Amino acid sequence: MHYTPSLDGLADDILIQILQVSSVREILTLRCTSKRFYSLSKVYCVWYAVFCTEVLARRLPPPGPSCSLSALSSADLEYRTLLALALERRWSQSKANVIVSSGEREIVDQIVLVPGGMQVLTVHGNKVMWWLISGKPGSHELHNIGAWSLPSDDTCIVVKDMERQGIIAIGSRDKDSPNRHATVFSLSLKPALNKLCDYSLVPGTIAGISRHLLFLDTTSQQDGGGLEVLDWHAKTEGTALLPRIPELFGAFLGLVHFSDHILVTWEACISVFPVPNVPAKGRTVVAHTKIFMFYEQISSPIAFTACVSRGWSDADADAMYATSQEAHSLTLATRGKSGGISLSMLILLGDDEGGKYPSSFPYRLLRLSTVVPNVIQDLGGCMQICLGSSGRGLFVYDGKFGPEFETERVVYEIEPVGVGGGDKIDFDEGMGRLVVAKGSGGFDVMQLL
Amino acid sequence: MVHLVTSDNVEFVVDKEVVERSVLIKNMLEDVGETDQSIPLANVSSAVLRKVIEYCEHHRGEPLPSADADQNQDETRKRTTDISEWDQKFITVDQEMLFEIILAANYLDIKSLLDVGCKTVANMIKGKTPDEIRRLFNIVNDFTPEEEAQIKKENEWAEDR
Repeated sequence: MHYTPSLDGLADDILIQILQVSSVREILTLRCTSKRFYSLSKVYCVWYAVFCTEVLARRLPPPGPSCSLSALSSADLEYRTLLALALERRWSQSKANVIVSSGEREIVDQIVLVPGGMQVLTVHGNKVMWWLISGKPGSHELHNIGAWSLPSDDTCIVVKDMERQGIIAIGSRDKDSPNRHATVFSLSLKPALNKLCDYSLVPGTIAGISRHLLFLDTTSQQDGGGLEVLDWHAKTEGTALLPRIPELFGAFLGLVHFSDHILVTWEACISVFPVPNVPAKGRTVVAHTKIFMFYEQISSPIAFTACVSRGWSDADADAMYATSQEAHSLTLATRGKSGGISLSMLILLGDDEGGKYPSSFPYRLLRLSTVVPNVIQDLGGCMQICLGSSGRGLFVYDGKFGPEFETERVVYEIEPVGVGGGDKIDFDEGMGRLVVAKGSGGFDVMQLL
Repeated sequence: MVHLVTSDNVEFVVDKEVVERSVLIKNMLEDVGETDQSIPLANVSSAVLRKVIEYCEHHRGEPLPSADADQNQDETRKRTTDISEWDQKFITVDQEMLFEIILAANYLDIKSLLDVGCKTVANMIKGKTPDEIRRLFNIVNDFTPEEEAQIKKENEWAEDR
């Protein structure tokens, strides 16, 4: 008798190849047809292929902590793929829903969502608490998994390395405090909060951390100061100074590691420095490569994005960060004079324009229009800006509203927050998650979808 | 020239360059060396081999996909819609022939043809409901109603709401 071939008659490996070239919707539909397709639709190499084509190759911000794809389960890859696609499709009309709240009502001075969207750090005075968000959609839980306190009574400030997930630095927030500690941690689970480097006295307030460099704001010093840089990998005491010209630059607003340079943003300008070589002892002063003056003065808050998803690669860690080198532009979102959001952009010069500028940083500054969302007309100015590397982001107005960057639509109304300098909201673009410190104490974790 | 004999005992005489798109036959020829003996293909009928040879003739001279990992990764990154016009026309056959071609491509190890076959099946599934797919491919629903409801629930959050 002649055997009639059918779809069900094909061997598993051929069916898997069919699933690998199918889109997510087709895989999920096939899953519903029979037990055989149900189990085939959960095979690791199917979701590996789909995650590569639908998320990584299309440069969607990958949800969840960055890790080697081979370390993820099939179910995890499926979840991350579906979440990335759902966020892409629904981003402009997404709603924020509280998925879990902290039980404790302690006032939060600053809240940080660790890149990957699964861990939260909260600052309460001189104490930092570390939380893990666990569970499945529909039943999330918060676990306190670590805590650390400054040796002094000063309120803490936490900064995170945006590229090296899981590296943070904690120090004292008060600019005039005599007890200026700085401690770098890796957020490893065992041991919880692994102390990598500890400075008992540093010259300024922690302003940022990027790779091996720890940046300290010393602008309150009499000589004008600037940003003093320590090499925390080497654990040396020597510093490199990125100097400020007080009467020209104005106050320090923020810094970013971009295109192999350190860009320091001041009220009046951006000063561009080469990545400094920090001496083991003593202090060197770094000369700037270039200064870009702003058309009008800007003020805090500020956020940066290259509008390129950082992505991951299955290969080694270096490849994971390669994408930031490819960025052709950097967008700066800051609070403008009017209280609206002033946007400017550093754009790579074309080959014909390159000649008259230093070739090590061939960019020009372009001023974009100021965004004044309708919702803020009765409110004050922008209080906080969160931007992911892909360009997804949120603005916070007057502690009351969180209009989205692209759509200028209010996604959530938060409780009025108390006074204090810390950031009360943080955001992870890959997971589409927000954490919000509540005015009455405690915090909420919200999922955008 | 290479002599091939199908399961229904039909002999085909094909250019070596054409038939070597099949990794199976290429390896065989390398092992055996120059020979006038015919190669028996017990799993392939003459009707199917005719189609397969037509495909190989058309793609004669195109570079064969290499087996290294990078290539495979690029391969998986191609979208379902990327079937060339000629391939599309070539693969417009009845279901039985489509699966015969897929089986033959898999057996003969012709990666690009297997790919076209798989993408064609994936495209046939597009936009259909589970019931429509079961009817189209004669798949027996062996779920209990409870199991079916459970799977639907699992899938729910990925759908548009």
